[in-house]
Amino acid sequence: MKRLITYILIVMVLFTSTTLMGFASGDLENQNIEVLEIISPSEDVIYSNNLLISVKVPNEKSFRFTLYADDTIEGIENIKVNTMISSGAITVTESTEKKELADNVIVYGSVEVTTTGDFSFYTLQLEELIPGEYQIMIEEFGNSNDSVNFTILKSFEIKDESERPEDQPNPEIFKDEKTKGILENLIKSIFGD
Amino acid sequence: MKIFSEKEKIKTLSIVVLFCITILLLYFIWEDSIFKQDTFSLNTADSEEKDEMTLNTNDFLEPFRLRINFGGGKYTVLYTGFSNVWDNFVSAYCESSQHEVYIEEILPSQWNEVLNYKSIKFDFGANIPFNAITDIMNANRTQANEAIEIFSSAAYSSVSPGSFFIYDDKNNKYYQIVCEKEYKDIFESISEIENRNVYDIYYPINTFFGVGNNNLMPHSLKNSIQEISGEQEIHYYETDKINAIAETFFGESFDFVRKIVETNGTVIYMYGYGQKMLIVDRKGFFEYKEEVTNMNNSSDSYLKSLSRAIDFVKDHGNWKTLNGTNIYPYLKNSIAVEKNNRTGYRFIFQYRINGYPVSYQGNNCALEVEVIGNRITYYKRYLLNQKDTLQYMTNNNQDLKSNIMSTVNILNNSYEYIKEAYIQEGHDFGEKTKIEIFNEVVGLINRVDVGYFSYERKQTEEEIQLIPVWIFTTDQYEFFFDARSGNPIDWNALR
Repeated sequence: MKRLITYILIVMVLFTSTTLMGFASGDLENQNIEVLEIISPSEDVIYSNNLLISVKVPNEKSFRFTLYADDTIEGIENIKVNTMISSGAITVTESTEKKELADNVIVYGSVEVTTTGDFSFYTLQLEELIPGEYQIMIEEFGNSNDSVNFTILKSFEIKDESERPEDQPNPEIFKDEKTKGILENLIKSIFGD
Repeated sequence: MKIFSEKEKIKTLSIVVLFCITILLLYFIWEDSIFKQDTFSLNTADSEEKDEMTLNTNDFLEPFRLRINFGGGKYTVLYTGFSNVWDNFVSAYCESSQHEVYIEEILPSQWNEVLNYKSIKFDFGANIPFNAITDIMNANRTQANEAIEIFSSAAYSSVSPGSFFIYDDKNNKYYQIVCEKEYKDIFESISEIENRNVYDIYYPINTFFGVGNNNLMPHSLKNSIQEISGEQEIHYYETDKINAIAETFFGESFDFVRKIVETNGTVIYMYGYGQKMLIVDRKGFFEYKEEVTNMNNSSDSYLKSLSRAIDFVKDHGNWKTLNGTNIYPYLKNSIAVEKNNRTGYRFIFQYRINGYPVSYQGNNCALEVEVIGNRITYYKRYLLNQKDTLQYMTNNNQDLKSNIMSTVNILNNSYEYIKEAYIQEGHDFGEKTKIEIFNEVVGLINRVDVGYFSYERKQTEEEIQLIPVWIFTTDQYEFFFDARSGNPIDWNALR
């Protein structure tokens, strides 16, 4: 009897653990699909005064977008921002609430972005950026725009183009076993290998 | 003592005269006689090595687009205003051709890697022979001329300043021409462009969407583009004008030409049993056809054929609209043709307004000329008289937004239009999710341009609109979207 009960308990434990693992992995997969993703900037340091910001938005989402600059940067009013307009699956409106961030000033935003459909891309182009530290904040709303489910904070630094390390050409760029000289081929075709 | 008798002198003189007459008769046989020739004449001298042309490189055999990588992730694409850069490239290439060079075929990945560094890339119309471009440049022929057939794109990069890179679109091959000298001065001319700072900034497509595509796309444009109103070059009721145009095609034989006026207003002029025909369509285009006969000589060189085509257009409507507006044409495509065992070329020309190319619904084109041997066998002209004064609309005011929609808006909303076109042509996207299909569609985009689009003219339409469009070109098709509303308009198979 004891043995029977032991066997039943083992089977129950095994069944329960595999079921829980199944649900857990399912949740992780769903979370991966629904996460907002900043495609650009992908680097932490950008040696340019222009930048494309691109956010991949899976599924239907509402979020608030704000771009900040370190409050020591001067002249941020000269930064040009080219944005997308509301069209089709994406709606962009001025947010009534401006989210402040310590030691930072708002360069652009806050705007509220609402998307429908399976996915969208939210983008904006920045020109005349001044060297310094910047941050992107994306607050994903829950069921209402008053509750924030998830916050992404991405920092990047703008440096002057002159500070960019010289492009180091890849010395292997033209060394490839598959690259063949035309004359080499011609000679081989005449004389064989 | 008389060396020659009188008889001998006469004989000698007769032989000389007969010899000269023979040469003269041979000349007339090889060239068209005065009764077969049309009213225009072509003066194209041949040399033993290559044709000496009256063409200027800047006229038709020049790039229509320049891609610039300034370095540091900053790119742009220009349609005008880069003649200085091209001239520097030509000078450098010509100079290099005077020294020993060698050529290697490279991989597409190496070509893409080259363009990732500070570089320039010129794009040309399709199927222009490599030899034709280098001859126009006045460059010496090198090993490159033996290896490369078509001059589709040319690049120069800081990663290898002692090389020129060529792409042959017809054979899908990439080449590196290595010379002994470096020509970094080419980059001085793009520094001038960079310093002017009036260009639109482009980004690799993978920067927008995270897919593996390094082709460039702008986020938006700084300037607005105006819609343009126009009208047909010619109307069916302009009888005198039509007759005057027709006379230029038939010359002295115009008196023997039959004229047929169809019920819809289209006028047809026919010589003989259709050996030569001119159609002046009610929609405002005219089309000339001539039969290929044994009178057509064997094929001329590409450059000579192109010269004939250019001169023909000049004499039949000219390289302006009939109301005198400049059209800034460029050669879009050259197609080798063969009819009745005679070979030749069909040249397709496109024109520009304010630098933007003008495209037509239904894959029509502005000007099309076919040259078989030494004869023009087909000519179609489909231009628009502009009614609006062109304004270059600059947004100096930071608050003034361009009227042109962002490319991202368009792809967000209309990528399925591209998908459906591929499905219609037999492409299978399989069981992919929507985001996977989007990634695949975006991965197909080779080029993004802005231009003008003209709808196919309806019979009764007098005023025609040229609307600004975004043009997405993939490996096989080009797709047109209204640049202001983002609505899909049309798509064509690439010609």
